[in-house]
Amino acid sequence: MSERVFDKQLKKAGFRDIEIFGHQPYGVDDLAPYPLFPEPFLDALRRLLSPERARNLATAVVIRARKP
Amino acid sequence: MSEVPRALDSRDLMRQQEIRDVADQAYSSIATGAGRPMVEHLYDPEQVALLPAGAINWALGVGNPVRNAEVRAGETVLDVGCGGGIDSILAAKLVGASGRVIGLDALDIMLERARAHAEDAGVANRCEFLAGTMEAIPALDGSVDVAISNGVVNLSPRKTRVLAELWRVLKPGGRLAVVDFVVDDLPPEVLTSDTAWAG
Repeated sequence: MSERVFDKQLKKAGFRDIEIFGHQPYGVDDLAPYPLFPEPFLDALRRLLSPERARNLATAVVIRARKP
Repeated sequence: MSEVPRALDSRDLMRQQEIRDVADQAYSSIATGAGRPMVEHLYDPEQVALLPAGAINWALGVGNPVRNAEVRAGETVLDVGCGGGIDSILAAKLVGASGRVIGLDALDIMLERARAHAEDAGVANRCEFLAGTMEAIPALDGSVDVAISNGVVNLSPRKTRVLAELWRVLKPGGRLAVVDFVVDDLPPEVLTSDTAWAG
């Protein structure tokens, strides 16, 4: 889900005072410590993706909101 | 805690089961979490000092929701997708003896680990670890002060439903503090990989 859609869905659910911050890019190398991603999978991504894309697969964000 | 909301339709259940099977297999097959280097990167030293080794070893999150949740003494905190319990334990330290933490996870093996780690951290008496899914949270309407989650909402094929459930269980004035991935697009190599979906 994109940040824009996440924000929209939070509003649709009824949340207010929504904040999305603390953006941290996650690339292939950042996934390596997680055993859920075996090395052959990560190696395949390194081969298949551009270096730029391999450095930024997704972005971790902090999402805060309040129920009125 | 006995009220389970609304039934899901069969198509959603099939998709959820498919993803849950992939995640279940992935989480059951690993021998540890991301471990201390990741925890020391994401958490404050004061937080790390409160954690037993097992909770550190089994950490699999992508951020630090408790740091951003402003948890107060006496509150009820729901940790959606609690995994090995790292964020539940940190929240339990903040709510104190008069508060309560509900750790929710779909995987029994992770719940067993979370219970053991909460015991090791000395907060088991204020933690309850429940089996369930984020699309049908086994908690009463308006029963939670703070809902936290760490890298879990992205696993759901029904994120709108998850957000509606979080809204339902929060009290009026209740807060949400989620750390998760957002993406504008993903390459097909990732979108078509079961391994990527499991993480």
